[in-house]
Amino acid sequence: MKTKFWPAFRWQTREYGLGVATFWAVMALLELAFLTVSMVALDRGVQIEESSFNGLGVMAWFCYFVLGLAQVRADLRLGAQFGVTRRTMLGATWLAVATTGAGLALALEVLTALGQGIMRDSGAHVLDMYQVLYLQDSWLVLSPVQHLASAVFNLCGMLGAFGAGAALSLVLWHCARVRWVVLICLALPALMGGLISLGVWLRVDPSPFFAWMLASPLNGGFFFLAAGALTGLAGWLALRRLNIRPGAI
Amino acid sequence: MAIEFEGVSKRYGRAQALKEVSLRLEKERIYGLLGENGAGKSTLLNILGGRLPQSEGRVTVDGAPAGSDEAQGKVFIVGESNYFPEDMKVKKAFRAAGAFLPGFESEKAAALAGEFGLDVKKRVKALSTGYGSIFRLILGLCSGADYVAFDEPVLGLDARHRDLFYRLLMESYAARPHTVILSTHLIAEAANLLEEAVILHRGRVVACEPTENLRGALCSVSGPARLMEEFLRDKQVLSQRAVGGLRTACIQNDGKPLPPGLERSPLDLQEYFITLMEEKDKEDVG
Repeated sequence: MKTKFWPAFRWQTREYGLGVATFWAVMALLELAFLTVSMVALDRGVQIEESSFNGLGVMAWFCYFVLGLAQVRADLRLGAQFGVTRRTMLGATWLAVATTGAGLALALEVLTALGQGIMRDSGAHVLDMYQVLYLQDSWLVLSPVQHLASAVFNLCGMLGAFGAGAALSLVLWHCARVRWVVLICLALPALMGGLISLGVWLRVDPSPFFAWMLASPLNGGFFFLAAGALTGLAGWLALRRLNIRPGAI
Repeated sequence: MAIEFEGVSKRYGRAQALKEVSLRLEKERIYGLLGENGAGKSTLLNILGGRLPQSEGRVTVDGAPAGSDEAQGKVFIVGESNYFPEDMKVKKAFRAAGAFLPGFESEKAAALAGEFGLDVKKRVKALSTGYGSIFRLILGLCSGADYVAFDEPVLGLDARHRDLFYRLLMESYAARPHTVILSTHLIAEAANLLEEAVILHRGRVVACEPTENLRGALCSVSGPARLMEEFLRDKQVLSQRAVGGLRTACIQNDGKPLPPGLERSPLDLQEYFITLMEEKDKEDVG
């Protein structure tokens, strides 16, 4: 059976790749600014007790959440214009997200490694979420294997975030009227707040879950991947009977 | 092999856009998809293009379900609406077409852009109504698809560009026979291109015939009012008008000789369409 999966994947990879390359360049500039300020301070004899530049991975998660939220409809419309079925386009998009995400995760580790190498033993740390949560040593300069583990952890976060963004976008796309969109956007945080309040009232203790998450990066990565799979499924279910509406002219 | 609609209905909430449409569109023919505003033409094409799921019924393209990869690979819809990203330039859209459509003629698209005066460096969203139509119809003319549907392709085009489009369409059809579905309100302009006409009225197919048959089905008879009154006594009159002492009426064409003093002339497709719509409106009211 002929599909347009690979042409769609190649196109999406290029488009997402350009986007994440721009994101990486911005992150590199931010880290450069941090390193420059730190080195100037050290050069002037300032004693840096403890400062850090972190969150490259978390920023990448946000980036992929926004990509899912903002880009998935444009991708499906383009597919609809060029005869790519919604299933094929969504599948190609997911694979492109995973591919570019893997590239970005590794590229961010390069930034982290460079920063750690330059600022070794200085008190100015460049680190990421994996190191903060699972190694709990800001002074540690990661080994290549630890960098790889950090990259995999970030990639899982990116996929989970993309899935959440895309699912939200596709569910909201079902809403033909603005008032339904507003209602859902208000209801979601209210629901989350309500569930937390209910949990407090019922004296539900979430600490075993967080302990499990923090016990191993495999657990944390598995959680984000599972979230990505569930939200991916939700997105597909929302998409199956959707009217793919055109964009504004 | 063909496009087949079997009992297709589409509802938007309580509004029914299509009602049990059954239709067969053969390969390598030029169809006109005609209907008043809101008749369901765009809905039909969007279901064919996999953009809308039907509420009931089945649509197949050469045997494959319309929403499948196999079917979508054979169909290209040129719609009024914008399905391109906001920031995409025309040049990039042509590149995307080349990436997604195996038969897309990139060089021809670039040449046609020049012929129409389309600025390929402009964003799709920034194009005027006319140039937006030109951009989309160039994609359709160069798509290389087996089934190409144009939904109001000449919207906003001046007379010269409309003439150019019709000429290019015929050249494209002659060079590579394929199925063309032309949905248009400018029936008089497109009539000579159309081999068959599918006419929709309030979501239903009311006619699906070769245009020659449709033109021959009705006729216009005119003459002095007194003679016309007598002639029309036992006839079903679809429409009539009087100017001074002359009366003109539209009736079923039975081919029988007319009484002396009366003249018969065939209806063109647009006149046939208008008469049919008026008749259907009367039936709905009755």
